Amino acid sequence: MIVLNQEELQRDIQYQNMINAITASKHESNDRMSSLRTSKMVSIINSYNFTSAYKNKSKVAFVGEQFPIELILALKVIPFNLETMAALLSRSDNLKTYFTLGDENNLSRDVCSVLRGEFGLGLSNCLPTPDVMVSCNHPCDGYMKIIFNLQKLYNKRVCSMDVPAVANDVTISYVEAQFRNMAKDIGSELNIKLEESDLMEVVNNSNQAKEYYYKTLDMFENSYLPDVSHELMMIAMVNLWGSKEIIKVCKTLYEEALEIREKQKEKKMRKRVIWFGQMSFFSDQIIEYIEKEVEIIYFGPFVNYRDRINPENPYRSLAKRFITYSWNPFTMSETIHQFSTKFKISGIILQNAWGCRDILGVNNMLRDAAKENKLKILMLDNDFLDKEKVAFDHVKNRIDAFMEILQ
Amino acid sequence: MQELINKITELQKNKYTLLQASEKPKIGWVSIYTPEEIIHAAGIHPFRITGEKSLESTNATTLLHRNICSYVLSCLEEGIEGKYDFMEKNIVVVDSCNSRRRLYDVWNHYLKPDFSFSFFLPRFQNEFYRDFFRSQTLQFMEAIKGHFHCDISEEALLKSIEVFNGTRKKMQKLYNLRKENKVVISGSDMQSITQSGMTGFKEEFNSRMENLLSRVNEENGEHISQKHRVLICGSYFDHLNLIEVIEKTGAMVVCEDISNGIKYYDGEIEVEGSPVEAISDYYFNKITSACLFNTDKRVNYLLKVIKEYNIQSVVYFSLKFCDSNLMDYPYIKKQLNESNIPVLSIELERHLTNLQSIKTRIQSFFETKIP
Repeated sequence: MIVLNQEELQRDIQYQNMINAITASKHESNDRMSSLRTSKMVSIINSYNFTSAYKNKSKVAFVGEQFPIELILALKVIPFNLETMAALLSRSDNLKTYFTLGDENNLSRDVCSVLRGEFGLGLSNCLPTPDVMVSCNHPCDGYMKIIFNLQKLYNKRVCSMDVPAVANDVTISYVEAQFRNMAKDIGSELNIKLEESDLMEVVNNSNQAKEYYYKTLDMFENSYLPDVSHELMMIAMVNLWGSKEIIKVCKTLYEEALEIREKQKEKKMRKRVIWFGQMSFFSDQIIEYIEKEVEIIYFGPFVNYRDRINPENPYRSLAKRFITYSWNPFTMSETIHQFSTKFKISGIILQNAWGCRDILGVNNMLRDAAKENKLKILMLDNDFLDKEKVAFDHVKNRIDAFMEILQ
Repeated sequence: MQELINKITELQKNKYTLLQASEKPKIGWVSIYTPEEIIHAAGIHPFRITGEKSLESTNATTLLHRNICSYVLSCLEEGIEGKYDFMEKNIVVVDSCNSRRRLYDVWNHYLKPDFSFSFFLPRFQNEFYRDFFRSQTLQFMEAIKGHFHCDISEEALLKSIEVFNGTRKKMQKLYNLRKENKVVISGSDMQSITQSGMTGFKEEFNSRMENLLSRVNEENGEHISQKHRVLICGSYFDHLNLIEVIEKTGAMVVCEDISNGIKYYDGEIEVEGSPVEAISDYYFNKITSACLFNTDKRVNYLLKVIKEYNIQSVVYFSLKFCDSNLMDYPYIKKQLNESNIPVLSIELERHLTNLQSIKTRIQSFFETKIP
């Protein structure tokens, strides 16, 4: 396995490597660009955070998808989400180079392509040397193992976070205690004291943003709001909860949703499907094709519906949120039942991503949940990053058949 | 000696018949982190579900995607086929990986076992995590008592610990003889012996093992082998035919650092205070498994075993889609290379659909190692 020396582990070098990795594209993207102001705001904030993580003075923590970053922000540390970096890489013409680097270093091609991308980015010295790394079995054991492998490159402190799949009083207390320990560990490692006022600030930011977020989500009950669900999903994915900016992002989206509702009020509601899992990061082709016929509502924003952080015990709230976000077929089935009528859902689309055992493990139970709620279901075998594993024309036939039975 | 070996391996070969004949209630398990002593102390028969009787996973892939670890799929297939109907499909699943987690969900939801229990294996090691594992072990014990309307006394726990420790000690004696090259038992026979110890007939197994060990001691290193010494590691592995392929090249499998090998029989339970805590801590302290975060502990253990057994080559068998083992491999390969240990990595399916290509790779690898 590649060993990086101290001279190479400089953030300015890593920044340039990363820019080279993600901007290598000969083709102009044909994908839609959301016309929403919110989308542009999110892009700008992401770019700023991304650039900040490569500055020498910044304190950076590697975190996984959906990690409750409020605690990291309260410590004035930049949370660096590795999955987002892999997603950025997916649009690069050089994606294969990074996969190949992983292959050459003995990582199987059968593991999730996001993990392969993260590993390739680490080996090619594209990630900023972190100050601390959070290793966690959530969203998957694969992510935990990637952190182990990356730790060998950077030799930095790893904070552990162990998350059971089922949320109950015992498991929530277990994760809550780990958040408390983690705050202490990161604090002592980076010589930062967690101030109560900083923690309350991020809690308030998160809660204020969620007010707008869920008000926007609720508008789907009676309105056709093109692009808005996609944006809600994007906000959930980029995971800026707790930052000052997220309030403005969610407020702007809410205001835009009101404007869209006004514009669309004369239009007939379209058939709706709920989309489980993430989209392919490299292309919106499938999404765009489906949206010609039906409206897509994304499942992600429904998880932890009306979730708020209790200022009296933020650690417990964060623990509950984190566990509940696990892929759990029973809670997902309940969510389908709870929302399918309210939001007038006609069908479900589940993207089976190659190598993602969480998604692959729940698909049949979701099929049953669809049946119980009299919903049609389409399962698409796809990949998050690797366009070579997907042939749109093959998928198209299945989508067409699904659309026919939906109508 | 072969006759004595056969007496032991009969437990494995006739597992289903013997299990059906036993009047005790039974619980199947799929992870070596299952505290079997608690089941045993309740008067229930614990045994490993291995998936070995399923010839394909067609039914299982209707409930779980085909890209899930094929050990898990084959266990599920057996369940769907009704192999465990005789014991009401009772199961305990330790959530030690994403695939096992889904096995529990699906088994519980579709097969409707009379009794099922899942508990979470912490992926990290310190006192905090140990205490959480202890609390779950207690919950497991209470669940058994409640469901089977039985008592689990301290005396029964101590007795079960003694029986299970007895099995461990006997297997460790046999392993020690292999280390010292004082016993020649083929890799495939050894694998069958190992699996026989997981069928739950511990008392019978211990008695038959005692006979084997006496005979081995009588022979006292009569059969010294000079063959190329091979260690197997990686995922769940029970392909006797692949061991035979290795051994036909002139090599000899002398150690199996896998869940159905030395990892299962490692150490022993030491009781100082509460027997339940002692049981829980024994399982929690099995720190060399792929499902845990710290691969360094796994590697250090592997290197220690390589030295003790005087290993010359390692074959790393990883089941396809077994992420824990697949993702450990880059680091393990690097560490073995640094120690100048040749390693052959093979990804395989539970049902060996790619047998011929695997054979070729094994033969080519050992042709370069054995003069």
